[in-house]
Amino acid sequence: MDLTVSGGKVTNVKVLEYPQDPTSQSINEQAIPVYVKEALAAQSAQIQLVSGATETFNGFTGSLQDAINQAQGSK
Amino acid sequence: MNTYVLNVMNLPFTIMVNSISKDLKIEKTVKTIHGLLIDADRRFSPFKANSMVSRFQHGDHDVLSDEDFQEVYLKTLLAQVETDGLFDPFYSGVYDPTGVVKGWIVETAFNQVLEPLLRTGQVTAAAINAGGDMIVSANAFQTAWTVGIENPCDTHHYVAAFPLRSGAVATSGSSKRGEHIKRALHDIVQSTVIADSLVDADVWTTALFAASRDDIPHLIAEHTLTAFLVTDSGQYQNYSHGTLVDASSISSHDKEFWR
Repeated sequence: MDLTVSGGKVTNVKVLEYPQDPTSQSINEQAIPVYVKEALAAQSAQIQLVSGATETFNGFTGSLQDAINQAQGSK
Repeated sequence: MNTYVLNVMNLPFTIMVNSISKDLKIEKTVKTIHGLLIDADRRFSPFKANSMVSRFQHGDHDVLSDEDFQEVYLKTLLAQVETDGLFDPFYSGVYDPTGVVKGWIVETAFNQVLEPLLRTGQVTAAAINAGGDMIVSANAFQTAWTVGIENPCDTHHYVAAFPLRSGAVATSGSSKRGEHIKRALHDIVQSTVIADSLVDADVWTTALFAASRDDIPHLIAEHTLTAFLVTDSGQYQNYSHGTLVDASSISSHDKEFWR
């Protein structure tokens, strides 16, 4: 997996090689997290979903996921 | 992309649905999911006196005849066995399936409501993110989802990112709610697990976070886990299907954001 980050944005994500086991498409497509070398802030990355330690609704405001949702005009 | 945010169990549920179908009533779809989440909270919350979990805690074993309770109960017992007790539904002294219920209901809602729409093509991509633990799917006509993992030491930045077409991601850490699960003394501050099932991802990320440092590589290898771990000394460890593929320090120019 190769993740290209330019100017704080994820500009390209490409798979360099698949695991050898061809038995499951979903497993093959199950990606591996790639360390982000450059600091990515909320608005700058083309990230849609954020995984983190369990967030309460009260603490959600101002989180990365909240910022993405706001930018997408969430209801 | 249609994005909705729901508040159930004091958790933020982000639901994203991409559809090209003009006939699909997405509002109605989200309402159905909302109903399932509220119902699960009513029936499984240990904080609600009439819930099945509270009744079971008070010795009412009639709840075992409920199919959903059976399913949750079996999943928690299985998780306890599979993780050698690191995931323990009896940790607090009484039965508490909370660690499995959220993943179970999100998975159930996804499979009952969104999966049929994905299969018929009415929806091209769908995701439910329950306070940082998620299940996603995107069909062949859609690019994969892009998932970011929060930096546990600076939650306004990402520490890792990856594309995910179909599967589940769960993260355990001490950055938000403090130490709320039993854990051994070690320097793992956050663990993220990617799996096909959200219950599995949730259970394993909890187990890895609770495991002793020496046991972690063995657990990951034995159960062929895909995991991203962060230590408090600014190191990360990246495991793919049980194998360590990358481990390094957070690079020096990131020290400022790392902190």
